[in-house]
Amino acid sequence: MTTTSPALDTAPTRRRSSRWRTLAWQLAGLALLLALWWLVTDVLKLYPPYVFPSPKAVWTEISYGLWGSGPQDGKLLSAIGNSLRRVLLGYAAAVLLGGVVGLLMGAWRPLRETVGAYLTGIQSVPSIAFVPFAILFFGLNERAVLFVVILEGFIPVALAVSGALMNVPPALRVAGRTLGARGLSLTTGVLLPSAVPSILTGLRTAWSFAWRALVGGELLVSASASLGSQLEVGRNTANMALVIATILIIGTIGGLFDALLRALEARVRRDYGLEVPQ
Amino acid sequence: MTHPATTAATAPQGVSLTLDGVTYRYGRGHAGLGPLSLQVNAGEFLCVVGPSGSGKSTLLSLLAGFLRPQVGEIRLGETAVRGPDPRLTLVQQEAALFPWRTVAGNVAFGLERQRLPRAGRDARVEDTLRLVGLGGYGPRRVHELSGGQRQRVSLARALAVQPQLLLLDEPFSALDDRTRTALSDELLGIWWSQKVTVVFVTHNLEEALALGQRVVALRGGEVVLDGAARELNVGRLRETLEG
Amino acid sequence: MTRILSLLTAALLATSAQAQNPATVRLGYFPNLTHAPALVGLERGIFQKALGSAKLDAREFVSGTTLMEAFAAGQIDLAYVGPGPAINAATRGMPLQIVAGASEAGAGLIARRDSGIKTYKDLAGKRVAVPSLGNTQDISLRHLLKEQGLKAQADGGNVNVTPVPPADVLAAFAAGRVDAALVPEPWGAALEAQGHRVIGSEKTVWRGGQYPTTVVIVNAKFAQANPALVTAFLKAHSDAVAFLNRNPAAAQTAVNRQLEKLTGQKLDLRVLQRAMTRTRFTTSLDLNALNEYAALNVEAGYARSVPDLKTFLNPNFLKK
Repeated sequence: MTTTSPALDTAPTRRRSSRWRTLAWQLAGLALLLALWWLVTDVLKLYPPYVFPSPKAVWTEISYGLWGSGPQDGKLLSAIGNSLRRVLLGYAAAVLLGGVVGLLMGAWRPLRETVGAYLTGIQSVPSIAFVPFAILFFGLNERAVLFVVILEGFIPVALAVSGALMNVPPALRVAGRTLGARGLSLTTGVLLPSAVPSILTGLRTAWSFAWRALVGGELLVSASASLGSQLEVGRNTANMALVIATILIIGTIGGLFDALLRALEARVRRDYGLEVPQ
Repeated sequence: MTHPATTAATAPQGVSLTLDGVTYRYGRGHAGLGPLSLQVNAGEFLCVVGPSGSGKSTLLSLLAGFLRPQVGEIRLGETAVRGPDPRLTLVQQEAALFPWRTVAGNVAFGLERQRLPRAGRDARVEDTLRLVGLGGYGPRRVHELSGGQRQRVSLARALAVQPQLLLLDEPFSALDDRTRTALSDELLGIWWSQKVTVVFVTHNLEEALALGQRVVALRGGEVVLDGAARELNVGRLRETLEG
Repeated sequence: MTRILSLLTAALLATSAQAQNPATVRLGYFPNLTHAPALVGLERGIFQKALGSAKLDAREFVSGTTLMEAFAAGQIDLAYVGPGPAINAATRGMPLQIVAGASEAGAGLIARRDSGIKTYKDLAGKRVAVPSLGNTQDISLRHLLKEQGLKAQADGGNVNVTPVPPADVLAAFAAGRVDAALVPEPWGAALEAQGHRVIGSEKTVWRGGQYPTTVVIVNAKFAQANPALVTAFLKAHSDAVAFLNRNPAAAQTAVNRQLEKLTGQKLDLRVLQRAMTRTRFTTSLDLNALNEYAALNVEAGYARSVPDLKTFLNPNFLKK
């Protein structure tokens, strides 16, 4: 409370130290959770290991699966690689498709009022419900999984893009037009850049939808190595440790990517003056 | 404001503005505008006053080319205005700066649309920023600026394309008194040095009388008073407007 | 995933309150021909008779996975199940004992008629269905592939091993979604009846047909608390097996009636006949075959070590 405001040099250090404190709290929380897990399983043995395995058993699965050198090891690693490749492919396609559909919906109100309403409806259906349909349509293969990923991913992007275009402040539109921007140049020069923060929020939603849809799809179409099929194998072989290890990996990857997008979003929002920097 | 107007020599002179029986109606229940005939001389500083609903906004939209007259014609010099016109730029009540661009980027926006070469553009941007007292502010982010500075950037953005007519819509109404006075003085300096025609719309009668050479009062979509500022006073204006 | 989580929580709740009620015996089985002793025992009322006053609560499952999940949650006392799920579960420490055999062989590799597959080698680059990943047929398929120098896609090879529930295999063949399937009977015979080709018979698929397909397991805690009930049930099980072997025609009718009750449709009698001739019903347990199976399980990457199966095997209830 003794900040006699040569704010320029103290502010960044204060921000950095508060970031470290947050990280420390997060680590402490993680350690507490692990300790609790260990206590419940290894020490108190409240549950049999085939129901709730110990942290050590899960760690064993992770280490075999990620850097084990046996002939059957490294399956989690190849599963991660395959799933990431699939989700990135699907996500990229979803962002592209969602961008185009969103632009069209933003440019033409009737389209937004009809298609937009359907998309909102489709979005409320859990992705897993589309998998049987996708299998009938595309067969038991990767295309069926990609279909569901793209379907789930493109909707939030389309809705975010069209919504953001609709909500561009009228004054910015006027400013652009009076300075000679019209049609395409107004869209690319004013409307889209102005929509970027909202679009980024949509991209983040799209990511979490796509990631969930991927794992759901892979559970049902579990032919080649994937995180979904690792869950299925763990379940089929009564290997709860593998199931939990896979869940942890799915959560970690989803969270990391989300954090990346969140950081990007925060940076853009700060540059746009939408958030007062602390 | 003692900055030398470095671009003044190349800047085109102001242009005359003619409204010829201009009419615009929104349909039932809305006042709309006109028929309105008005002649603004090249280089003149005209203030338009009127209460809300008097047709000020409609007039602005028509001048800026966002609306087309249903009857009549608007001319800049000899040519009619049909849609947004590069000879005419608008400064709004809000600065409406583009937050994804720097200060310089905002000022350059109109120049980019005119496909001005890079080198000339940068020089023009810096000159214009200096003109509004923000020399050296080019690389700043717009959210780092104060309200007054933002409105200066907005003014610079409108001036950079060297319009022949500058349209201002209550540009200083959101600012505090001191900033408003300072900016008003600067605007007069710029008008003087750039020889641009100015149409300044405001509901603030004192402001209109202090800035304009000529004041036009609107009520119910029609001109109810048109006279030289020095021959008018606030009492007379208010009387006319309240009818 | 949510399903796994909900099962996990169900399991957590159930095992902590695992109060066995000896008044009911909960039996798990599949509506498959390889579970014919269960079907016969239920249809002829042998099981209920043997259990006396204890009420028989028979529950059908579609796969060993769901059955073993219920078993882990403490909701099943006795079950007919493939050796794959049984060994996996036992290896993970589930309190189960394998107490008797039920059926042997009875699984075949069938190729879709227009798939162009004539021999095992032709499986390269094809899509092959198994009932579920890690189940008995999946493991024997992986072994078969290995013997041919082939590998599943998940192991870096080019054979696409896809889990398809047996009940959906006919539709998957009809739609061309899979090229071949290693399935238990009666699905093999049913596919064959539709003109699809048998590439590997029950005998050529593995060990000359000398392999367990269904075994009987019991929850160890239940067995300890109710040894008499287990003995009585296994006696009835032996009777059902004996009936199947002595009286195939009558057994077929019983099986078909039970299948109709469970799945809503009768099997074609010729399909059923053929399926039954390919399946051997026996109460005996072949420890060597089970051990070999456990080794294959390791080879397929579903387990890391071969467990000492003798500790899970308990043939004593049967001998009493």
